[in-house]
Amino acid sequence: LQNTKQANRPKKKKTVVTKEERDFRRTFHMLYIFTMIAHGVCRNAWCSDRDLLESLKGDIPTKIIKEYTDYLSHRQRTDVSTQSKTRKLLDLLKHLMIYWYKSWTVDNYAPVIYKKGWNELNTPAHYQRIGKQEFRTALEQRSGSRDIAAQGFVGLLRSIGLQARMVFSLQPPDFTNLSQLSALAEKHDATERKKIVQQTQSLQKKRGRVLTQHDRLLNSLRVHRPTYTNMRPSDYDDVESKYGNFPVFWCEVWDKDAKHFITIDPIVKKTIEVVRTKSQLEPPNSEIRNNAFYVIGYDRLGGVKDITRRYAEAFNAKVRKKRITREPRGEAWYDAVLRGATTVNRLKLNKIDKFEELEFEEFSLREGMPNSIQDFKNHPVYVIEDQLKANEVLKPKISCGTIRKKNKFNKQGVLIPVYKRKNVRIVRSAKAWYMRGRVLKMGERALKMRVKPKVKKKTVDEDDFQVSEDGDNEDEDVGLYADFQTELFIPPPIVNGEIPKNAFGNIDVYQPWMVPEGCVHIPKDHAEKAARIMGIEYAPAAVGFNFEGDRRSRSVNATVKINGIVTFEEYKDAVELVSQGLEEWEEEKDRRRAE
Amino acid sequence: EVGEGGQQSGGDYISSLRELLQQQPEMAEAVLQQLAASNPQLAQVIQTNPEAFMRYITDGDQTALGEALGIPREYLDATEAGGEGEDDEEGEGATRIEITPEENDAINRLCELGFDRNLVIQVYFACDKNEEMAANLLFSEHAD
Repeated sequence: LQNTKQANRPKKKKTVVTKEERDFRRTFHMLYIFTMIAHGVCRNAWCSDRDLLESLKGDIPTKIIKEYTDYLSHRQRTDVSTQSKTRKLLDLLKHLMIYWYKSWTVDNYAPVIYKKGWNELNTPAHYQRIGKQEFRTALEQRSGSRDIAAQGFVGLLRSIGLQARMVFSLQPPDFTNLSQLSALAEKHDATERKKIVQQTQSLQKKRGRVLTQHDRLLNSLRVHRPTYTNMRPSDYDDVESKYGNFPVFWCEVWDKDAKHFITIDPIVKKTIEVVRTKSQLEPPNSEIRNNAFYVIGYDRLGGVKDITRRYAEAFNAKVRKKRITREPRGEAWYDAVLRGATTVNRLKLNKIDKFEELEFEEFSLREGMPNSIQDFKNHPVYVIEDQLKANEVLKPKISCGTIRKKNKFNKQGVLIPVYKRKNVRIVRSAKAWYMRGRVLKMGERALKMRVKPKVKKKTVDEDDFQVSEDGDNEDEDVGLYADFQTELFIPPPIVNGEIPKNAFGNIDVYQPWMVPEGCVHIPKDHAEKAARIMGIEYAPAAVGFNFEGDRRSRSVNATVKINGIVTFEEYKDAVELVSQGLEEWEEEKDRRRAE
Repeated sequence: EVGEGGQQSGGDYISSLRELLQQQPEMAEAVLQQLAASNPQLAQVIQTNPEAFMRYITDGDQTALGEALGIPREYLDATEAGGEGEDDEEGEGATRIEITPEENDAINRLCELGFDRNLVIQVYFACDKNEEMAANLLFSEHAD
């Protein structure tokens, strides 16, 4: 890894990185996500530590405790509306939040999590270890980084019994960024350079305000004891320009009456909201230090869920493409990571999970159509006809909207229809359907024609393979049909005690139901030999095809795959017995030869 | 320099990773880079076996979470007894809590209220075998 990296790092003026670097970025992205999800599990557990919670609870002003008990009894009442219960909860949360951020001293020199560019992976954060003990000390003294302050708030809410979730927005470097020196880095470098210039200028004016290595060391030592406001407004500015003015950790509380989550960022934005369309915590695209691409919720029973949908307004159009889950392989991996991070007793969905699932579906509908053509590619809800794959067709073809497509001749653009993804059908040739044990219904007409390809494009698309693998003759135009145009293949009845065979003397049994009535498929290597010895009626069973040669090239050789025979049911036991005998006899022969 | 803590050779990358993710997430990029470079198996296991490895590496914290809720370790591990055979230093299967017939009856009654048995057992013991309290907790937490 290191070698390839060093080899690729030099600033050649190449726009796109090499394959090795691309692979490195993808792998590193996954390593980072894995590590950080595990980090969340750890901090979430610390935020539930009983001793810690007791100590946090002990410090809460009695006024707020009373407000909490009032809320609990208000909840029990049947003569008040849900809204008024929610109102009370929101007030309570607001007072807790104010209490928390007022008592907390955010140490702006403590390291925090933020998004880095590919050339910044080794940017030194100054050395700090927060073990469980240090974490507890920080919380009890209300002093530490903004990340820890937000984590502590989760503990505070849990200490009085609220169903609080720790939310962690992971900040992995962007694996979809393939530029040699990322735009992010260049922008960063530019600001860094500017800053260095500014700093040296101000250094000449007043010595000492610039952070030296010495300062950093001193500051790191200070973390372990209460630091009282040694910060000036200028320090705040510094942190915000460096790490962005958006939180990485925040909190969600389940409102049992209204059945939704309430979002609270007690430190950075100091805000409470119930997200409907756009969250205040979602950074704009211009924010290079923070992205809401992977937002993870950790509940107090150890459930770990991806809740990005709530914080990414354009999840389907934009954010989806930035995530490792954009390919099925990555999605399976990501789901496995989340499962592994979840405690065993939370693997099964509970009622809250189901509410949330529904809510996310609503978000998806509310997001609506993308507003650029390329965002339609692989969009989960919408599709445009140009981007359909060769084996896809719209049925029924009812558009649900339009989008303006501009080109260089037409600045105004033309309106093209948009369709729902759920109306997309996979179409296959008659032969491909037969391989799946289905035949065309009477009188069906092709929905689409596959035209003889002039030069077959090189493609790695699995769906495209599927079509050519079905063994069609590629030199002719082929009609393609959808599933509803087909029906199950029913094998013709036996006539004159003869098993029907194809042109090659075999019988097609691509699917179990293709075996004729009264017959049986015996998938044994020696079955054919046995049947021949016995002199009974049979046919070798063709179960599929083997493909030889490079799948990507034009020259694919298909050879039929034979697995055992089809014969009449009454011969089944006898054939099995004889082939068993043949097998043993052959084994015996092999053994003797070996000796 | 940065990442000294993570610079380990040989097979101890697991403890380095655990240290990193528990105590120094802010240094993840630098340390991960070093760890992955000197231990190719790290990227390998994370990519090919993410679920089991995640469970393994967070085991201590998931247990801690269970303990915070008052759930005995045995019940957290119940469904995956003898899962990973990688690291045996903790002496698995030390003390098992026996469920008496009376306790079993109580657990069955709670299950009949429509809750998952695993969950019922955890909550029941978390409530110090107080059936009514367990029922209350189950309803307030899980029947919402």
